[in-house]
Amino acid sequence: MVLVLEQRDKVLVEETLRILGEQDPLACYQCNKCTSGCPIALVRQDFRPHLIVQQTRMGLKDVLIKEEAIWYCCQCLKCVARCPQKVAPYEVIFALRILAAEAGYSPKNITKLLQSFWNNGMVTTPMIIVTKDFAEVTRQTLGLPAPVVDTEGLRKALKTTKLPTIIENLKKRKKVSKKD
Amino acid sequence: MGDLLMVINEERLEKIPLEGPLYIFKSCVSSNVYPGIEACTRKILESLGISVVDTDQQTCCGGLTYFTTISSEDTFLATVARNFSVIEEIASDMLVICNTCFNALHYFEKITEDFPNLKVKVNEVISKIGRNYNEGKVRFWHIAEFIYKAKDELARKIKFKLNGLKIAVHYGCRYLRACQEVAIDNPESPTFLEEVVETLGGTPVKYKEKDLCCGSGKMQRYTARDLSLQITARKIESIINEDADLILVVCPSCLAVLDNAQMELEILERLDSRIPVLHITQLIALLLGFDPNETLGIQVHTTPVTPFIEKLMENATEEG
Repeated sequence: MVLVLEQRDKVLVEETLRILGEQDPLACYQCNKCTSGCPIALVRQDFRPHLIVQQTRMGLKDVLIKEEAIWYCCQCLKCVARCPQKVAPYEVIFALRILAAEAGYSPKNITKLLQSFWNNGMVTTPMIIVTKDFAEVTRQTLGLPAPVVDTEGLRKALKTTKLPTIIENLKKRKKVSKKD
Repeated sequence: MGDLLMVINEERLEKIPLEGPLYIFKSCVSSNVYPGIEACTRKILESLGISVVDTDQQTCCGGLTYFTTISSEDTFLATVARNFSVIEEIASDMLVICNTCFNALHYFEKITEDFPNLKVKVNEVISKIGRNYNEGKVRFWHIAEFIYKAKDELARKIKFKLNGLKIAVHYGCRYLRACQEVAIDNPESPTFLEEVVETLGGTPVKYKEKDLCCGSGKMQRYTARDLSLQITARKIESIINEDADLILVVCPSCLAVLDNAQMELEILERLDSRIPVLHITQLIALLLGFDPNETLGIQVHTTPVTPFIEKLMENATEEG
């Protein structure tokens, strides 16, 4: 990618450090073990996780949080298993996603997961599954008790966390830009 | 070389309980989409003479929304602590049937150990609903490691042997890689599932993309469907190339992706043939003789499991 130095954000490394704790992006020595094992790098030539760590060190916050690339990571944790410096791209990308979401940039289609968690206490909803032969299957069909969960109690506890605000903010989401 | 890496964490294995009462931690995908996984887990425990306790108070582990960074740390911590507090009233050990749930519980323990003040904070949050969580009161075990420990006993109890059927195992990302500190095998070249397959009479298949993600990529299925499908296609093609009879997974999300994506890939003409996918609990329950529809719930799978069951039965009859 072309470097635009004016886009540098000097506090980005500090911000990621705040989220990562002891995992310091500056410790990365660009050995490339992460990228060489990355499944997304296999199918997208422009996704190079070690470069995301490098761009973070360079403070390219604007580029990183507004673009789609950080949302490509499939979180398979292969880079975590491989990283010799304990600062795998997964961890850095995780921190960047939090910063992106805080700034209002997050991909679509994820609101319903959170909404379902809030409403039903599960990210999936109890359902009647209709099979190819039009038979109806539920938990009860297989002899399981109904999935009654104490959603009232959960909501009451979570009301004091950031969750209600997050759900509100997701509705006002800004669009993430596509990478060329 | 391979043998050098075959190190099972014996110390942990020793501690896995083979006695009840055990609690089965409910997972979102298995509870509502593939209920057969939970039903099979119950039947396996029943066959081993282990009692099961249950509650209707447990919610989602909180992991999916947190690991995909759409919820917050305090939400995640409160959700896990509340679940622990619910379960510690009825059991001291639980079995986890999903990699993400296992990862969530493990991660919770790890960060509350690193930052003890979080324990106080999180108990303040759940005290508002009259709950309190006690650290370490409930121990949790992955169903795959539990089955690994019980494999010999299960092999004695099964009604059908795999008789050399070719099984491609898929470990998933969030048990071995995310929980290296506690998992029973190493994340880079694990073999414990192959051992289970061999013990049950099957032939584990070597395939190129064994350590590739299923394509779920946590939220990838929602946010970058095309990328997700490309990964899944790569995985499944590599398994079909080795002529496997079944894909064996240990996580309901992996099951959902590998099972459903095959139909999409077929429509997109990326795949010519299909291969059945089962969760490890479903395979064991099948071999123990439980009903494919009434217990395994194979009728909800989009990729038919019957070709595998037919092969299994054919082999069984040949053996007499």
